[in-house]
Amino acid sequence: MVTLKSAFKLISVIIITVVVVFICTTFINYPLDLREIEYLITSTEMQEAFIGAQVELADVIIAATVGLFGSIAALILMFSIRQFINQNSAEFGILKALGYSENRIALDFSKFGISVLAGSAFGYILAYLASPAFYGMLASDYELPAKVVFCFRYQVFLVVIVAPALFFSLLAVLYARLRLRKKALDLMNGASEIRINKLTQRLQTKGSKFTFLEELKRTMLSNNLILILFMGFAAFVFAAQVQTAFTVRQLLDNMLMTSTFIISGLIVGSVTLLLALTFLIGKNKKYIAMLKAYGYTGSECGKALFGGYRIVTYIGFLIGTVYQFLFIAFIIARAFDNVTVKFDVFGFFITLSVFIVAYELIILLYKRRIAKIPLREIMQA
Amino acid sequence: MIQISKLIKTYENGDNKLYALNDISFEIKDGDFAVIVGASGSGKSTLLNTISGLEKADSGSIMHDGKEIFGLNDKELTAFRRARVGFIFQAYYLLPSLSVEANIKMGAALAGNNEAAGIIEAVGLNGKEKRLPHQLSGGEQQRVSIARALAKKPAALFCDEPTGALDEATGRQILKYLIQIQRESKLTLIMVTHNSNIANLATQIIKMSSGKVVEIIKNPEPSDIDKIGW
Repeated sequence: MVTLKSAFKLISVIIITVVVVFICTTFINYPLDLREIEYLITSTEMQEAFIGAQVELADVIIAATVGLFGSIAALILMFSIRQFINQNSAEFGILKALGYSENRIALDFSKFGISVLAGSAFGYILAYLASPAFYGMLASDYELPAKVVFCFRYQVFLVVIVAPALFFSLLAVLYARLRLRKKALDLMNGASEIRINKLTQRLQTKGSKFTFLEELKRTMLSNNLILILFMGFAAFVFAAQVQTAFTVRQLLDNMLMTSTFIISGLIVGSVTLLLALTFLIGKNKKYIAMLKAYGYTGSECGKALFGGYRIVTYIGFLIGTVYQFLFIAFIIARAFDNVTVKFDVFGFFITLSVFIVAYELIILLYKRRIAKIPLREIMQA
Repeated sequence: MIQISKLIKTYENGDNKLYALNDISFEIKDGDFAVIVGASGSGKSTLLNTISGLEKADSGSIMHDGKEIFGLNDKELTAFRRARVGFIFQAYYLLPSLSVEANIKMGAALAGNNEAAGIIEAVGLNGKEKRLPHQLSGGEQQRVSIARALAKKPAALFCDEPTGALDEATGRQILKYLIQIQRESKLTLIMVTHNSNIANLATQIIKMSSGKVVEIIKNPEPSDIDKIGW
């Protein structure tokens, strides 16, 4: 059964929620807190130039953050639920055989909403604690008649904490319900077997002249399409956030905002990448053990498993680079007059270098993990 | 030749030491078909895994054609398995996302070639080379796993209950095929089974109980597969 402990194991969901809620709380609350001192601003010009621009800036950032990070958090949650059901399919099969209804079992998955609740609460507290520094930075170019202070609003609290937890609980229940539709016996017997999608079937039916390891690399990619999305996203988010930080530094010269972008890019990018790699290894553990039993080295297994994803991550990186440039240019055009954004070539090369080193290091680490997979994996099934 | 001498392997069970293999010694000549039989928990699979370099022993000696494998590190054991042994398991362990042909290439590539055509024909899977494992019957999957093992051209083939998941007719077919290959190519075949009838097909029968070899029977005239019970 799903326990609270298993919900807290969704570290990736918790971490991404912290980042999303931190950014959303800051940028939802800030325009509202700004309105609190609006009556003190007598100049209409100042009201239009400052408050109008700040509200628009906040709207765009919220839309981009919720759209991008929120959807990936939802995907990761569904992905984790699928993994959880696959890993415990025998247990769910027994429950169904004992007479538990699918609804009753699926309802238990609502506990996964707890991970979102925990992440949201932490993100909210973080936003509150960071608000003096953030607000000061956002208003630094203007002489405001009073200090903008973070005020507690139950509406914001409901939107950023309660609503996501409820939404994700419901999503978890509905998705689990969908995944539990199999017969009890099917769940008990090998429901965790790897499924082969149509693309892989088609590729294999056609045959190929590839060597064995190249063929394996190809199917690792074609049979794990969702991982292409995750790996690509990890690189995308890293490239977008870190390069945004360089542009922000160029425009605002603010260390706090620069570090926030870098840290959020690093955290969300790495978490997503690690999750995808961990899943890939977990799913193929016994087959990796079989390859090793036959005498394939950990390095050969690693190349076959991860090699195909290298190109995916570099494409993700390039898309992230283009996205961040267009996004920043769009925001700046809406929020400020007479400011043009130039592509930061230095920032691009620094980010690319860090990305290459970080990516290759993580892959090396995971290749070592593969080397440690015990051959017992094939003896225990 | 495989020479095992004073092999010991233990497992910790709380404060107790459990002897999975307790002072085991025997020899298997090149081209022999050895069957290891015994009840569940007698240590027969552990013995097979240890001789084949899948598991490490605590002490003793395991010689493959005069080369000691006891004490080799993981890297050296991988190289040993790559060069010398093939495996067939009860659960087949075919790579599910790869076709029959690609699965056989897994073994063939280690022997230095990427061709699987000849061996596909030899195991009677003609016309099924582009199929995926889940599109095959249990018997066919085991044939693929045999083909994969043979494509590697191993000096010794280790089989852990290769017919355990098959019905009698398919099991007999698979055994018939394995024995035919073993006799034709003078392959050393070491098989673990709980089915004592299968033991009569072997040239050497190693009986195990509680981690010990209790009897070794040389069988110069092994039975025919069609004449044994199941």
